[in-house]
This record gives sequence, C-alpha cells and structure tokens, in this order.
Amino acid sequence: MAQFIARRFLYMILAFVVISLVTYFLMKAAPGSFLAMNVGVNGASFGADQFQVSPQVMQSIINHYHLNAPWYVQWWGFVKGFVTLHMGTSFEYPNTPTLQLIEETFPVSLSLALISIAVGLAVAIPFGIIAAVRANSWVDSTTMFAAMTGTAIPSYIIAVFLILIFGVWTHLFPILGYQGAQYYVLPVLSLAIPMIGASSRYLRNSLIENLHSEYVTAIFARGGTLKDAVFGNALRNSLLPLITTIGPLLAGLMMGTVFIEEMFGLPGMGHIFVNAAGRRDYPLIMDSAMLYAVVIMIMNLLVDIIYGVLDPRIRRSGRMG
Amino acid sequence: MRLKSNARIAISLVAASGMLAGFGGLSMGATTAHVRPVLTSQDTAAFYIIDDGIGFDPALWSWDAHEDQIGIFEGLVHFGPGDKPAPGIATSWSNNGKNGNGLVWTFHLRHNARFSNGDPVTAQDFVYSIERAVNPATAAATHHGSSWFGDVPLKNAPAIVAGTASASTLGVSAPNAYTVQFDLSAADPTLLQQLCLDPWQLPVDQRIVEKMPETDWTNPQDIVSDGPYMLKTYKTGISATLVPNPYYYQKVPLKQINLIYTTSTDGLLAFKNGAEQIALLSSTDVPAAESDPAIKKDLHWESAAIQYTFRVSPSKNPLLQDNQKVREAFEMAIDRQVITKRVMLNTGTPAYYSHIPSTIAPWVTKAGYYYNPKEAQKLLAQAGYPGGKGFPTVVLLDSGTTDPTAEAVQQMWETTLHVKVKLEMDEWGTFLTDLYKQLPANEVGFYQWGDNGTYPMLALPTSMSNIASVTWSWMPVDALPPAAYAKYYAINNDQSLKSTVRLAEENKLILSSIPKSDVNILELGVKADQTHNSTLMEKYIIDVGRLAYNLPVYTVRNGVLVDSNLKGYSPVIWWDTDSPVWMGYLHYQG
Amino acid sequence: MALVEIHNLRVRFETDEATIYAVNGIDLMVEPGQSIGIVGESGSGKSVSVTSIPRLLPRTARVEGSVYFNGKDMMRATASELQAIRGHQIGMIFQNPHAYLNPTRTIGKQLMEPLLFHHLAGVKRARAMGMEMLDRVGIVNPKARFDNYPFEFSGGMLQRVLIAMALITGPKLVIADEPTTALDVTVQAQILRLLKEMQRELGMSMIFVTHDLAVASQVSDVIYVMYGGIVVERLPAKQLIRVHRHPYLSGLLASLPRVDEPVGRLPFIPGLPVNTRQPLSGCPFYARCQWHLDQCQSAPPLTLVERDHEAACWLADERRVANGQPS
Repeated sequence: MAQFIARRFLYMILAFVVISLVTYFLMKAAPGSFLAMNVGVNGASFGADQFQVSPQVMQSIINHYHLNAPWYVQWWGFVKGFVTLHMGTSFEYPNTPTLQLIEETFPVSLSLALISIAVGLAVAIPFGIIAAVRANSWVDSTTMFAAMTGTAIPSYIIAVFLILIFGVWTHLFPILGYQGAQYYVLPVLSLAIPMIGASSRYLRNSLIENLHSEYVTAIFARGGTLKDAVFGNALRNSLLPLITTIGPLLAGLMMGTVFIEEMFGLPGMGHIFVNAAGRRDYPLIMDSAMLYAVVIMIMNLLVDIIYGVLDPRIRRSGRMG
Repeated sequence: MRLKSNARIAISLVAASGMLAGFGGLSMGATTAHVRPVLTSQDTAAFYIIDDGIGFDPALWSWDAHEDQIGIFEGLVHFGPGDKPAPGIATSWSNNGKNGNGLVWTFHLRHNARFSNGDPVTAQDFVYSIERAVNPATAAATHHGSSWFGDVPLKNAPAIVAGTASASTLGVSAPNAYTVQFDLSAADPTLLQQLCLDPWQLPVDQRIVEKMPETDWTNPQDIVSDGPYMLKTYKTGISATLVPNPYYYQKVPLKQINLIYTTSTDGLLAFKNGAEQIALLSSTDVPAAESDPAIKKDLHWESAAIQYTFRVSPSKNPLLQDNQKVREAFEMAIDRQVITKRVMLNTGTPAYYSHIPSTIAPWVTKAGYYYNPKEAQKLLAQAGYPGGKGFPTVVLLDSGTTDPTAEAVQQMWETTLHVKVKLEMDEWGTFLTDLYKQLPANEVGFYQWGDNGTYPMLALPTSMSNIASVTWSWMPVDALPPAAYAKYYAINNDQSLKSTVRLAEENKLILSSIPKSDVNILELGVKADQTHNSTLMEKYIIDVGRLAYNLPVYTVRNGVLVDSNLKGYSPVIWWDTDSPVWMGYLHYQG
Repeated sequence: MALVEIHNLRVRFETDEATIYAVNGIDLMVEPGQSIGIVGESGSGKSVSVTSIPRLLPRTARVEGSVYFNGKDMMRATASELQAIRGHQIGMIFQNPHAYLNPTRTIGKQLMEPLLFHHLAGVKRARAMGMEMLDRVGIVNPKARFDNYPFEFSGGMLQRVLIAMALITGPKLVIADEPTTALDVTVQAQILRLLKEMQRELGMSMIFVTHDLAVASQVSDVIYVMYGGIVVERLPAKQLIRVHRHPYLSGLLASLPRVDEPVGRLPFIPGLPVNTRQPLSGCPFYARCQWHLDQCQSAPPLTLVERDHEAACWLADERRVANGQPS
C-alpha cells in the first residue's frame, strides 16, 4: 500500500507539472492581456492618461509578476509560489493575497461539494437497491425514471425550481447568503438531485449484475434469502465500484458549484476563479488551475485508498490497478 | 464605472441573452399572486451592487470605491435625488466666480462629523486624502489604478502625476480645521458634479491610514470611514454587511444594509423571496414582473446613462473612413424602435449620441440619424453601391456568445442595404485584441461597444494636444485612413516609447491624417470647453454625432423592483447598477 | 421411499431471442445413501436437471414435470419452504469455486452462512463448527485460514472449502456439479476421494455431475448418461464398460485414452451437438449416429434392457448390441 501511494504520488507530481505547463502556455497563447483589457480601448496610451493605470503602476505590475522574464522563469515563479504557499496577489485582487482568498472560500466550496455527494449518495443508494431488487418491474422503472429525470435537468434549472418552491411560494428556506446550515439546503439539493440519477442507475446495474452472479446463486444454495444476498454480500460489492465514481463526480462538482454558489450567494471560491481566464488574470489562472488539479488528484487518491482499504483483494495483496 | 462598465455591459449582454434566457420562462411561473411576506425586519435593506474585490481605498478606482461614495464614506458633497449635488461633510461652499476668476472654491465643513473610530473629520483629513489620491506613488504601490482622473483642474495636479512636483504642492489646502480650499488652474463650473462622481474627494482618517497596509482595505475591522454606514463583514464577490457608524453626525435610519455582489442571483426571485429589497431585473424577467400583480407596483424604470453603440472598425479598405454618406446610410438602416421594444423588451430607449443619453440632454437627438430605409438605400446608391452591389463584406465584431441586438442590426443592414454582414462573436479578451486589428481590404466593419454617459460639459475635448487620448465624446482614431491607422497602431504598440512621447506622436499623426473638417470640429469643442459656452458645446456634440463614426443604438433602461415600504431610493444613473445615490436616504415608512 | 424422485422433467429457457430446450423429459431417482453420476457433454442438460432439484434455476427457466425431495413436492413448495431445504438438507458444490464465493467476504464468514441462515448455531458455535469442518476437509491450520479471503486460496483448497460449506449442515443430499473440472488431475483425485469419504461417512446421498465417464464411475453407484436433454442410458457403474448399449455411450467410451495403447490420435464422435433451440423430435443422437435408421426419427423410449439397465435406442433391445457394436 505504501509503495502504491508513493508511486501514485510521483505520478501526481508529474501530472501537476504537465498541467501547470499546459495551463501556462494556453494562457499565454490566448489573445489579449490583463493590462490591455483593463486599460481599455486604444491601448496603453488610454490607460496611462484616462484610466490612470500610470506607467509606474504598469511597470510595477510587470516587475512584480516578472512579465518580461523568459517563460520558464515566469512559469517557475507561479509553480514555486503555489507550492510554497507564497502565491502573492493576483491582478484582479491586488490587495488580497490569493492564499487568503483560498482560505476564505475553499472550505465553503469543498463542503458544498462533499455534502452534495453525501446527500446524493444517501438518496441514490436506496433508489438503486429498490430498483435492482425489483428489476424490470414497475417499481424499477418508476424509480429509475424519477432518478433520470433529475439527471436530465441541469442543476441551475433545478435551483430555480427549488427557489420557486421553497423560497418564493412556501418560504421554507432562505435563498441568498450564508448565515447558517439552512442556507445550504437548497444549494445542496440543486447539486445533489442531478447526481442521484446517474449514481442510482450505476448502483442498480452493478447490483443486478452481482445478484445474477454465481456467488449469489451459491448464497441461495446455502439457504440465504434475497435480503442475505443483497445486504450481506452483493451490496458491498456493488458499492465498491460506486466509490470510484466519487473522484470524477467531485471533480465535476467542484466546477458545477461555481454557478450554484453565485445563484445562492454562497461565499465559495467559484466566483473568484470563474472569471480569471476571461480577464487574463495570469496569477489567478495559474493558481486556480493548480489548486483544482491538486484537489482533484488528492481526492482521486483518497478514493483509491478508501477503495483499497474496503476491497480485501487490494488491501491484502497491496496492489492496485 | 465608466469604461470598466463597458466590460460589464458586454458581459451582462451575454448573460442576459444566454443563461438567464433560460430563467425567463421559468420565472414567469412565479407570477401567480403570492403575497410577499417580509422576511427581514423593517430595519434592514438588501440590494445588488457590483463588487470587484480591489478594496475600499477611495484613492483607487474600483467598484468598492463606488460603494464608499454612496454612504460608507462621505465627502464634501454627494449625489442627491435626481443626481444633483447635495451637502455632505461640507454644509456650504462658495466659488469666487462672480468677483474673481472662478479659480478658488471654499468648502465649509460641519463640526460634528466623525469617523467610525470617533476621530473628528477635519479639513486636514481632506487635504491628506486628496494629496494621497493624486500622488501616483499611492496607486503604483497597489498595482492598481488611481481614482484621480485629472478631470478637475486642481493646481499642480498634472505635475504631481508626472512626478515633477511633490504631492504637497497640490492646490488643496486647509485654512482652518473646518475649511477646505481648492485652487484651480482653470475655472470649472462642473466641479461639484465631478466631486460627486469621483471617490478621490472622500476623506480617510490620516492617523489610521498613514500606518495602514494596503491589504487592510478589504478587512472591515481595519477600515475607518466617515459615512452613515460602516463595513461589518465583507466577502469578496459575495456580499457585505453594513451597520451604522456610531459616531455619525445624525441618526442613521437602518440597522443594517446587505450588499449582494453575486451576479447570477435572479433579482426577481430574490425580491419575491424577500432576500433583496431593491432588485435589478434582467430583461428576460421584465414580462414576468410586469404581469405579476403582487409586485407590479414595486417596479420602477430607471435609465442608466450607458449607450450600446457600434463604432467604425479599422480596415485596409478606406471606404467607411472616407465616405460619411455611407456611414450615415448604415445608421439610417438601424430601426431603434424595433430594437428597444421588440428585442430589448423596453429595457432600452433609443440613443442618438454615444456618451450622452437624451434623458440628460434632450437635444442630443439631433446628433443622430433617424431610421430611414429609403434614404439609406439612396445614399448607398449615390456612393456607387446601388442595391448594395459591389459593397465589401461588413464585419460586425461583437463579444460574448449571443447578442440579439447585433443579430437584429445584422438583419436590418442585410435587408435594407442588401450588403453581406458577417457577425463575429469573440470571447472578451480576444475581442479586445481583434478590435484594434485592421480588417483586410475586402472587408469593412463595425465593432460593438458600450459607452458610459456623462454631462455634456464633461464630454468636451480639453486641448488640441491630447486628442489622441480618449475624449468623452469621440475617439478621432476611428477616423484615421488605413495607412495612418497602421502607423498609429505601430506607435501605440511600441513599448519602448515613453507614454508622453507616444501620446505626442499619436496626436501629431491624428491631426495631420484626419479630414480638415474633423479637425475644425475638434477645435470647436476645445473652444467650447475653454469658454464654457453652451451653444458651442451643443454645436460640437451635434457635429460629432452627425459624423456617424459611432452609431448609437440604445440607452440602457433598468427595471428595478423596490419594496414599496422602503423610501428614499433614487438610483445612480451613471453606472449600470441599481445602487442608490445615497444609502443615508434609505428608510422605512412609519 | 426414494430421496429424490424426478418424473418427466422438462426445462426450457425463454429469452427475447430464442427458446432453449435444455431438458426434454427425464426421470431420475436417488435412494438414501446412494450416489449417482450424471454424465454428458456440455449442453446435454445435466447441470440444469440437478439445479432444478433445489429450484435454483434463473427466473427465465420454465420447468415442467415433477420433482420430489424427501417426499416434498418441490414444484409446489413456497419460497420459504425452499429456503429451509437449501443448504440445510441439500448441499451444493459448484464447478468453479472462485466464481461461487463472494470475493470480498472471508472464507469463514461464508462457511458459517448455512448454519446461521438456518439458525442451526450461534456465531460462536458456527465458528467452531466451521473450523472443525475445515479441518475435516483437509485445510491445514483452519484457525488462520478461517479469516482469509477466497483469493488467498488455491483452486483445490477452495474446492475443499466449498465441500465443507455444502456438508457443514449434514445434508441428506449433496449435489456436486462438476466439482473437479477446473482442477488439475492430482488435485482432482484428492477431491474425489474426499467427497466419496465424506459421503460414506455422513451417509448421505450424492448426485455427481460430470462430463468425465471415468470420474463418474469412480464415485457413483448408478450412472445416467444424458444427451440432448434426455437420459439415453442408465446403468450400474460397475457394468459401464461391459454392457453399455447406446451408440453415444459407446462413442464416449471409445474416445477415452487407453493406458495400454500408444498415444495416437484419439477417436472422437463426428458431428455437432444437438441444436437446443428447437424442440426435440426423434432420437437426439440421430444426426451423429453411424447406425441410424428411419425409425430413429421418432424418439426411442428408455427401455429396460436388463436388470437396472435402461437405454433409449431402437437398436439397444432388438439387435442386442454388445458393447455398442451391432452384431
């Protein structure tokens, strides 16, 4: 296991370097620069005279971010800053250190994503079990239809429905800001509902497959009931692969939370990073890309480790696929 | 604010036509009459406002500084109802215009004004703050632009900005603790409006700010302000809460104000939920709000002084720059009524001048060409393109993913002028790069732009020696013929030139390359500015408008929902937002 | 009274694409303590027939005929009645032990299941019984092995575990469905010996399903030869070589390698196995039989050719075929 983690860690470092390089070059290849965009029309002269980004200010930005240095110096500056947590400030938020922005907002986004996954799974698992046990019956098709309908609707449309129902018609939950747990209810549901469909379907199919496998026949041959087969054996084996979907699910959610955070006015990191690319905010683009990469890689690693701990074949042999 | 909001317009147009369009239909479902219970107490108000996270330092140009202006800080004067200057810390003022040359303004301060830490607000604080804002070192240290634009002719300001004089030589002084004196280099009848518009006049507490690192300007507990409200919490891009300044010189009506910064929040739903008491409607939500009897009475229409326009693009083909009649034909082929009513669903009113809405100066309608398809066809035929035959492809450069107005204009030009119009939607950064590039010789074109409005007097060119920089009325760069534009582009992108040298070279190039008649119009404008002659001013603006380098389409008109119990709301018209002119006015009835 | 009585059992599988006629009317009887072997090539219906006894066929199976176990009509038994019989009175051993064990559950836990499912013991006692059983089937150090996972066992060891699992409740009948096919020859012999010993020791009946005649004759008292979903011959295991009548069985015996002859090309039965997608008509072996007659178009009944010996061939009775060869 330790060897596995060490090897994965090396891969992660490699992937991190590649991601930071790709991001750097794509970012530099995009036309326009933060200075030009914020200086306004007709180039620098306008900036110098009207927008009041004086030559001194521009020079200080150029020096501060080494914008005239060779590419590897700039790139290394970003990577080193990120790794050592000395990211400094971005173009867009010149007076708030990027690290402080991340510290303030990251827990909100991460908890939103994790709670949504937890809620989504808490609903998806019973749905999947009911559908699998009653496979090809009306119970199965009704459950799966309900679940897939949720998946077919994007989370921001679901958010509008939830706001209408719970915020405007019944006033059961607040729809804006963050002052307590009840402010999380609607955002979490908006993110969780689309997830339920895919996850419950995944579990259903996996469980049906398990229930049709020989070892379940053997359980029946030993005198086990369907309940023994599902809860004693097949469910655990079906949940194992479901765990592996959490990594990509989380990656998707980290992106998906951006819009939901904005709609519900939650202080997550989405709003800070979402416009970075559009504004050519180089430090923020680099820091956010590297942060997302690290978060997603760590989450995937954690998921794999959890999988390994739960699956005796991997836990005992110490090998992972 | 100003040019920055151009980006906002572009972005909000994308948002309005793209994602938010999806909400329109859904929001209509919400229109069944439900009495809106007031979730918040009568002591709280919440509304949407733009935030950019730069910090609340009034010396820097930012949306946060705009929030400073409407009641976190209080300057000498601030906007009152109808955007007219009202007394702030200064209770009275005088300008020696009648007796003298108009170069001295004297402001008398109230004696009971205090900062949120209890320190008194004195004339010395104003002197310190204004010198600090004008001093280029302040902005340079923060990597961000100064809030000092040089619009007010304060003595020695240009020399200080250029670094040739020290900030202490600025024409601002404190004859005593409660008197502030401005010494100007030229008379300025619009000084008070200018003060209301600009955050540099806001006083900071010298004792605190001298030792305050710039990063503290986003930490509420470190910010000392003198307005009716002070920051209690601040979350970049999300929200802020304001509470009364305990040392304010009079009773503050509300116990709390919540500023909502998130752009994706649906204003209509937030208003119906009670999460916002002042809400900006997206154009797609307007029909839903209008047909909802429960909130119809709360709906107010406010014109924002921002114009959606098309500007002539640079091209290797001189056709548009050379031929005014062709430009006029393109303006006459735009049906502004159809666009404002059918495309914008009344969230716009026809515009006739790029920088001055007709709500500010009704006479600017004379600066535009009205919809006249017959005349447009005739002009094009006279120019040698009957029925659009032989006319180069017209490129309409725009930003975002969709823009219904640009699509409508494309269709109007194609059906009226029979020319081929290619609509190009660019990502914002790409758009900003592309719009400087000359089109090839087989293409001419226009690019979409949003222009902030201003008072006509402030829209005049101030000197023939800074024509190359933007004047509020017109960018003469648009008029450059192809070869001259190529030269201009080269100079403009030459990083080795010092900005002053570059500006001088550009100026020379422009004045020697644009038509003589255009130069005459500019000279008229400078004369109007120097003499403060309103007849000349009107003539200049109408002349510029009729050159048709800019084709104004509509002025932004916002549907704003205001809680019927909340009084004292009057919107700031200069920026595309629903923020009130002065938060100190907001109160609940009874 | 016979322990198992099967009469005219027919099984077909109905899927969307086709109907598979797997078993086309068989009779089978197992006396208490008796061991019978069912021999046939794959697709002959032997596994389906025995899986019908504890009613473990998949939902797509359509079963007709009668199956009695210990006097109980299995065709009319309720789900809970069946559950009470499975694993308690009928133990099953499968071909591929790896597939028939839950890979993520320890051997011990699975071994205790029959006892726990039927409330025959508490966890503690079940554990002790499990270890004892592991010891009896020849697992060294059962205490340590108890908490191992299936993947930590070799195939032969795992089959021993499966046998232990089938026998732990002391069933009246054990059904061994090709229990040695997946194992190599030396291990195969050990397992067979073990099974036979356990069967004798516990005095239970056994149905042993295999495609291997030699194996069947080693462990069984009576051999049923199946082909095309029917029993083509039933005879005492001791008489297998001597008096077999059906041409199919003759072919099978001829294809066995002989120790006393040089290794050459093995004889085999030419032709294709029966197409089970059509209902059976006539003798299933008709197409591959070198002696087939027009008469064979109608199905030959299973007729007694001598004491305890039946064969389903028109030639079996009339021509007195000796050793399957027409005289």
